[in-house]
Amino acid sequence: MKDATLTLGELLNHPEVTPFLREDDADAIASRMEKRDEAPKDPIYIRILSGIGAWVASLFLIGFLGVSRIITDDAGAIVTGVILLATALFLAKKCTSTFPSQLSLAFAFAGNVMVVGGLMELLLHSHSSGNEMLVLLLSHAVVCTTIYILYPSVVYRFAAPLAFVIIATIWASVEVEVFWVMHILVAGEMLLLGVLLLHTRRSAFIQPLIRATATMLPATLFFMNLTQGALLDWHIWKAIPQNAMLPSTAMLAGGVIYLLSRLTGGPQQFRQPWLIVAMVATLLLGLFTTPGVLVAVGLLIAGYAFGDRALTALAYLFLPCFLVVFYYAMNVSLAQKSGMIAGSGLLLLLVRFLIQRYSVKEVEA
Amino acid sequence: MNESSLDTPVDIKTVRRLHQEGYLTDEAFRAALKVVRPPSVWFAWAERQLLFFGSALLLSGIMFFFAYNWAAMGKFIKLGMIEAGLVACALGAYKLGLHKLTGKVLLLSASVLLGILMAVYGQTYQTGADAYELFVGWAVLIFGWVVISEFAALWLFWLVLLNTGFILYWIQVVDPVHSLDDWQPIFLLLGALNGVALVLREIAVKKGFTFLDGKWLGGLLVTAVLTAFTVPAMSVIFDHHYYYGEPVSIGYAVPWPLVAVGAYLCYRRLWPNMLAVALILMNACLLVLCAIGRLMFDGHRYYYNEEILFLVFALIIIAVVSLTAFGLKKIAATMAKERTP
Repeated sequence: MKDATLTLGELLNHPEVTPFLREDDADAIASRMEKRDEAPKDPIYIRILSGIGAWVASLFLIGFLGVSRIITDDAGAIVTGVILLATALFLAKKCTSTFPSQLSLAFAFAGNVMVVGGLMELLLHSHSSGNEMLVLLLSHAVVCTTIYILYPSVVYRFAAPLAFVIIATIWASVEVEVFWVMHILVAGEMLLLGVLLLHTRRSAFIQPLIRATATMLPATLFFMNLTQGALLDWHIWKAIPQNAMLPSTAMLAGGVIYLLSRLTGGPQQFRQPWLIVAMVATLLLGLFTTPGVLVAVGLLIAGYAFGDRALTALAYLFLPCFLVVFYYAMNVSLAQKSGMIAGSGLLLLLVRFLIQRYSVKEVEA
Repeated sequence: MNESSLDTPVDIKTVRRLHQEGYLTDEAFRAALKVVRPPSVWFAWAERQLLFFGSALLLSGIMFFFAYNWAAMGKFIKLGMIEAGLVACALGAYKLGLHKLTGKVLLLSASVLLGILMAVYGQTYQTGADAYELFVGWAVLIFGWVVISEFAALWLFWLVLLNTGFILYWIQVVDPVHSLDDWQPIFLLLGALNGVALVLREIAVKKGFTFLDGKWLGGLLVTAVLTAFTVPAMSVIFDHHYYYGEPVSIGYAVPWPLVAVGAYLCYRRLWPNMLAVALILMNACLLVLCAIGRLMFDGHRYYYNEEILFLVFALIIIAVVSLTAFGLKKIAATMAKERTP
């Protein structure tokens, strides 16, 4: 559904908006809009191309350093990594053309891997082994946070947090082997996404982190669904509790309700009949559905509310993929799955029916 | 006040950004939100999304339900339930009319239920039919509905059925014992099938069939065509039989450049579409890098130090990707200028 077609000037002169504008707001906005035009962003396909290209190039760079035996110990890896990162920062600051930017990105990825690998080796030398993934996770957290602040690349700022969650998932499934940890991960991702979307300025500094978190939340749920039973005869978790996905479902239902309440303007709007219907439906979904449905719904709402087409596309891509993965989830029978999915569908259609009735009444009024 | 910068169309993103950056007070922000996106727009959006998501989930649930082997349920109940659903959806679509989105979604649901009915029928009476017959028969039976629906999602669903039927026909009839070394023709044929669909879609859009105009549909079809032609070309590049058997015919790589160049020219000149151009160039970038990598690592590793090859290839990747990104930016800028009257 398209928004009203207006220019910014028309909006600022609109009788419903003008009374709330301060004296010099229009001028300030005009000069702000000029600044925005001066620095256009790369389209998403170029960012994807740059990211994948730099990542593969960094693997070959690391391959070169490994095969040539230039680096023989952990200290060497850390020093080389720091040099690569410093070069990446220098190139990013001094050059704006495509090749140096691409080179800088490849150096940043390679440097990150080298420093994290070196730190991991160093820490494992001085402590007992068995916690390799935890050490890797903590090392990457430190390096990734530092570079995220210093290095202004959208692609790096998207990829590095993704890598963090991937390492966290591997750590949970390989070293901890407790399914509950995945719920904590889902909670962390959901809270971070909520805070970033609703309580920050969503500047260029934050935007890649929002996209990374929004990508990892459904990906984590994929993983949880696939590993609830034996994955190719490999039992990842020590034990799978009854209603294994319920905590995540309940948390996500809470998250969607909070999102709805924030977007509609807070508790003073709670008397709106359509909002009551939406919240009750979300609560019901939280009781019986699978978390994948709630994540898809949440991403869809967030994408539309914040005008972020990437989130909307993610919701549309995620739902069919999730349904396929859910079909193969091992610890729930097809009859149960059928009830959960068809029930969710019926509930959403019922909400649609009620909202339709309400909106017709509104228009008539 | 600079008027030209205020002439830009405003969207929800801009309003939110201006509020976050302190250019709009809370009250002005709330008022601007209501003007840019009034409640009626929100309701219309919610109705549409709830219809899509709700129908998708309900239909998936029905599929899951019949995939479960209900031993206790009689065959007449099973078939009767599906038939009742099918008739209800078809009648609903007829009553509401296909100009309404709900009518279109009901027709799509009827099309899905028809396939479920055929599958359950085959399962119940053990007809001995091959799986490809189910998909091809399904596609044939719903074709009339697809034509009258004016619904892109139903057209895409129909194309997916055809693709699936085609793949299964190859596996079950053409090569039932998987004896053929050459599996590339199926990809070329799939590429041709989806290519025809893509060209027909572009012509239909030009002729005014606006329901096929969605960017997502074009992007999806271009990706499908490129992927189908890329796989055989890749098999020629990474030919594992090269050293110890019959090499893969180089002919399998020939369609890709023809298709890529043809598609590029079409989407650059005939039907300007930056997304399609970007997909074609990114695909070309991938194939070029694979070819260079194969030549470098297989052809010369005995003459040069392997570590140098790693470094050189890393730089080549960066160079090729940079060149592609640079080219894409230039083309995007030129196409944007061409669009401006």
